[in-house]
Amino acid sequence: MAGPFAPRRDGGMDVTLTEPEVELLRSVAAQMDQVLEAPEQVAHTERLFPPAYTDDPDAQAEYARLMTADLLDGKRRSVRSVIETLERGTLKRDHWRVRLSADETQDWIAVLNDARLTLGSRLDVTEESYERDIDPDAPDAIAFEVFRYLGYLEEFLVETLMG
Amino acid sequence: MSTTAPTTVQRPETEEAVKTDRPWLVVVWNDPINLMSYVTYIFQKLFGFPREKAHTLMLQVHHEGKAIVASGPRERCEADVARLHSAGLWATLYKES
Repeated sequence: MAGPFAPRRDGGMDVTLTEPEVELLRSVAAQMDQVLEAPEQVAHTERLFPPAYTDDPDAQAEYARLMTADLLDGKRRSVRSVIETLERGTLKRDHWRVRLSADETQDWIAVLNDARLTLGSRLDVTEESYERDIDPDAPDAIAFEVFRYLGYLEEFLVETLMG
Repeated sequence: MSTTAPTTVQRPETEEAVKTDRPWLVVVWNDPINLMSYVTYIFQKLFGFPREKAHTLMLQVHHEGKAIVASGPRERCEADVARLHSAGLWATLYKES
């Protein structure tokens, strides 16, 4: 299947993108890296750290105390990994390519999803948002386009992995 | 802590023991951002479900708003919830009553 991702036997992926796509992904990854510096100080990051207990504040406080640091560490590691792969790729004849290991492929999925969760929360995305045409004059038009592009890429990556 | 040996051993009431044995449940809630294919993929990856079962559970989340994806002792359920959170899914746990 022609597309940005070609699966490898080891669970890795050969990625082929255009330069503007890579520039966009670099920008998204850098923003996520920044967000994860201190997510509690950034709006719309609640969705990255959902509660485990919704009717027991004490149990939830204990869960957050035990789990949040690890959760945050994992997210930071994934973003750094993606940034590294975006630096490692090479541009030849208008095609940017990189070979991802199985772990790096998982990092790509995680970061695409975290970026969509963050951006989608900021845009207040609903089920209907996917059907609607984007008004090019709306102040959020570009952010919506980015959100849709990340969704397209994540969908392609997941479908490719599931075979 | 007291060093005095207890003279009687406290035994749990039968009813209390049954209550304690009741399993905890892991629930995944619908949200408008996670892709349907992604949720299916995560169910397969985290729980080793066959694709068909993962797909059915995903559809249940999508259409009914939630689905129970695991059950068992509290510690295991909490670990499952943490793995689901790590994957960006909206999961909670509660004890069956």
